[in-house]
Amino acid sequence: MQPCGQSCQRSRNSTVHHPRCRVGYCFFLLALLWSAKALHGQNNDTGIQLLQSQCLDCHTGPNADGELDLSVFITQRPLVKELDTWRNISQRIALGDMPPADHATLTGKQKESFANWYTNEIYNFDYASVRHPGYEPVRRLTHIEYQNTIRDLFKVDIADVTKFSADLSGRSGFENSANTLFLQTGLFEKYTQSAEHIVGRLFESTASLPLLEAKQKLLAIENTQLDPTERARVIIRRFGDRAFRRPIQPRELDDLLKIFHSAFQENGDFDQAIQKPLIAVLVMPQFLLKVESEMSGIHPQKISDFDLASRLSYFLWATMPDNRLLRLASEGRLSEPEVLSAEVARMLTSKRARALGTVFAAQWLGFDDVGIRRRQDPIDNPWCTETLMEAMRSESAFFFYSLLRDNQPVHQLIDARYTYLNEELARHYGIRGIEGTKMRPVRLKTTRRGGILTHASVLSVTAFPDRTSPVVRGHWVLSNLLGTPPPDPPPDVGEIDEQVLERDDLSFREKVQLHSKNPQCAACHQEMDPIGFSLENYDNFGRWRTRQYGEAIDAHGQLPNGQRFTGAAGLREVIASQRRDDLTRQIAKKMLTYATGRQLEYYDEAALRKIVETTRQDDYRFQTLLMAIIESYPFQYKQPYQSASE
Amino acid sequence: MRKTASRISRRTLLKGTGAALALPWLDIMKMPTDQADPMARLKRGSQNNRLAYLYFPNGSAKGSWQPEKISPDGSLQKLNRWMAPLESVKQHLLVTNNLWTPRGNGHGAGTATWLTDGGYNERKIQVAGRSADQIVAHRLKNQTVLPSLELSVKGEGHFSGCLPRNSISWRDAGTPLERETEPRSVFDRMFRTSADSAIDRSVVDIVLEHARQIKRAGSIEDQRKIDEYLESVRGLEKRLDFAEQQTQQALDNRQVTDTLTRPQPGIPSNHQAYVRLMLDLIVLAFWADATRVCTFMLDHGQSNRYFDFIPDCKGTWHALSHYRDISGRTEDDDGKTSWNTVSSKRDMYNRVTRWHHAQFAYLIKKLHGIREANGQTLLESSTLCYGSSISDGHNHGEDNLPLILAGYGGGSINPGRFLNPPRATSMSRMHLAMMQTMGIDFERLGDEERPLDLL
Repeated sequence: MQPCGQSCQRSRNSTVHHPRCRVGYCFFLLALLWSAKALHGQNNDTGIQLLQSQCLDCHTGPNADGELDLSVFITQRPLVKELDTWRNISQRIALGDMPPADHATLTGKQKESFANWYTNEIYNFDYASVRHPGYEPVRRLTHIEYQNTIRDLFKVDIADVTKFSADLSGRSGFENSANTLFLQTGLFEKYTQSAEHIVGRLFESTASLPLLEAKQKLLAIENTQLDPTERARVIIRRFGDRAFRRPIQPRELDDLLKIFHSAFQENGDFDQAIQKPLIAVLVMPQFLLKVESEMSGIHPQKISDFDLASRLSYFLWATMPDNRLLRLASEGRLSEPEVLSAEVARMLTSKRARALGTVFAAQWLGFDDVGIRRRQDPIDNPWCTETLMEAMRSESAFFFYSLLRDNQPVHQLIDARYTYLNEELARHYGIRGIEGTKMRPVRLKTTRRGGILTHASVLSVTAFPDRTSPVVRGHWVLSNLLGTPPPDPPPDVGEIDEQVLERDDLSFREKVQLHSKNPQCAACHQEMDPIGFSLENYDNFGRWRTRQYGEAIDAHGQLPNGQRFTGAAGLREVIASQRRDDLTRQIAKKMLTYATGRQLEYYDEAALRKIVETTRQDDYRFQTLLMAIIESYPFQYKQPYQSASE
Repeated sequence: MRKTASRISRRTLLKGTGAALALPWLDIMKMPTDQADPMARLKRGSQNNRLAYLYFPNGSAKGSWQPEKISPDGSLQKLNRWMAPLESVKQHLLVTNNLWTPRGNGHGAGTATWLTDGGYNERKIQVAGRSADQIVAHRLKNQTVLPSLELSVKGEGHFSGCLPRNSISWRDAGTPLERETEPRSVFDRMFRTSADSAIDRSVVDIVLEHARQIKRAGSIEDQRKIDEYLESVRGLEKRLDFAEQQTQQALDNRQVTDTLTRPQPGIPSNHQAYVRLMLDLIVLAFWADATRVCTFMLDHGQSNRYFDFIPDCKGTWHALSHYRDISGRTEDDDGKTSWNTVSSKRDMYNRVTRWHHAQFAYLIKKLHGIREANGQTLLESSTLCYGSSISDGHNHGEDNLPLILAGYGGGSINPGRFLNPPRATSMSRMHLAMMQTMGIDFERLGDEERPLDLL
């Protein structure tokens, strides 16, 4: 992940809007509310008035500063529509960052009343009053999903997606966002070539044993008495049912049979002729795109069982549903609560669920960058091998997956006492007694390791290539792990001044502190820096160290609230005890984003809060969180298109 | 579409050797430098012309873009040491001054809005609208097998997967175009025949029919996505038509099939060979009239590529562009490389820019070495724009962008000059002028309605 750097990790927007009738309803309610408040002499416009009087000078019109046109922004209904922006505004006003000093200075009282207004009107807005499950538009499979789907469709891993131009990502940080998945002729041509290549290889006379078996399964016919057309019908139907992730429709079957027919009439070779409809299936929209069933009416509706099967399998497995899920869907039983939770439990024990670590967690925490964008020159650093970097990624992926599979409390992500190691990675960590290349669970005796914050993968993606940065790590923990990012630094504030960096009389820590003392910077750095400093015992590739630049490392930290802690062990304790709800909310938010394949919006807020609450009440169990996501309104429901596209 | 006969006759001359596509140099194609007045033959802008944008990231050090000597009438007399590779082709250039983009700057937004005017909305992944190259491509879409060709070198390092840094062409405000990075894929986009494909018309018809059915049932948002799918299939369909035609003609002329050679699969490891192969493919595309609009990103918007193969050059491109910082300790530095002085680092930065000039000069010469049936060289019927979305790389400047136009636009451009409009002239005025060289009168891009005068 982090393809666009830190500034890229925030939300993206789907173009979903309120259905018209609901907007009207909301207006009506709001109007009632306002008039009621006005009658009681309350003024709930405090915040708006402050923005109007202090900010519009610079933040108006198409060339507004920071590309934020507040004159339009404050007229949005509901007002809470862009939550991230509101959060940023309130942070900046609280910090005194905005309005800028040369423009105006707010009094303490003004700031306080704005903060109160923000809490009442934005944070405590009645999100449950907005019933909108969101809309997930048709989108193509990601390259990872395509490769996995082909693997499970043919029972052999045969797709080569390296020729596809890379999936890009925007602010959601996940490659499965509908608004960054495009399909143009260049890619379509590659899909056609890939389809021909895949089917062609199965039918090669020199095919290997796994390929031959795959072909046999594809063409297996119980009744050998059937004529060629009937045989083709059986094969295409069975293939189409799975490739389309729902029963193939008569019209689709007929059209594909026509293709078979004309090819068969041409040369009379069944094996030749059957290839063509199979190739066609692999370039049809029903296969390449995620298309959910049609809906009528204007009210949100529960998705069909087949759609549920696909949502589940692409969420938990990053691949197509298996036969069992499709069968339960065809029987209409998958959505029954007991069946659903039993299926989720079954799916979690499948190998395919490792995708939660290798795809979801890797893109969320950014450790898919290790070995690709994060690596050390192998000549100067012979220890930094491909196998080590692979072990680093696997450690975090296995670990994340194990938390779910074993139904650990979510805060174990931070303070688990075990991890996954092989010999090379254990040596990297200075842990003895692990032999061989296989990754295995290891109970940790040392307090130096344990939890994602001490994984070499995360420690390297949060460092500069040549040195650690307490600020970057602190920022990463606050924003990416806890979902409470500090605002962007004010413009014109750079990194550590070169002259400061080169002073011999200061320790590295003192230099960073000097930089952070700048009053403009202090408020946020007081929060970020102690977190980063507590991880200073780990170098830029996650190795343990006690000295840096010839000085002993001081891994003490003190938070703005006065709390003191030492090292990673202290930080784990602080997060697991004091920031547990933030952590839970962030995991839920990222998982729901990934599960729905779209950025979350204000109307998802109620569902999100409910997921967090459900999890909290069950001792933060990870499977409870997962089930709460799967049972959530945005995951189970969908806005029919007539009203969603308003 | 142009007469196929001329296309085939050009293609008969194609030769391929290994990974490199060598375009032949025949007597009839030699540079027309001895022509008394090449302009006399040429006419004004026309849809038969060609248009290319070549983008490079990270800007260019302040001062390195300023010609050393300009005569009072504005003609270029001497460029400067950093522009030396362009010296021999300066009669074909318009070196610009004072152009900028008022909104949407920096490595991310600047790249995404280089051809669109307006800002970039990171949250919605949206620019102001269709990019200049796509406005032209859209108007010409029924005239060539490919409406346009989007090329890029394969990204290296951080930000290679970042959408705005990889997207200069936009079909509409929310749809960036994907870019081909593999030479063979580019070649196949133009010349792969249906003979070796199982995807023929019967398959395409069924695929299209089912996509239309899904579209009818979908929401507006769905329809947008299905339209994208439909268009991608139609692109293939069109190419198949073209290929069928080709195959028929190829039967009459075996030489054609014998001399068209596909580049090797994969990405050439030598960066210069790679870039030149991509440039050869642009020449080929223009020559075969496979498309008339092409964009080529010489790297993504914040390239961290090493150019250590250039003598006296070390460190990544983006790090070099921040030449005032010599500690080697900024985020994009590699931690190994540091510099002694600001000027030595700036020189390295300039060497990378100069290397790119040499590639651009290579393209200009190639295009000028090929004469078409109408007597013009390809350069004479082309308009090329080469430049960046950042001016000085160190402070991410946005005023006075490094931009050079080349070619004659079929007579609608008078090159060899320093183009010096007033300070802070919007780059959109240049785009409008470039559209005019393509015979397209576009009313307004962003806030701009007046094309620059290129004559």
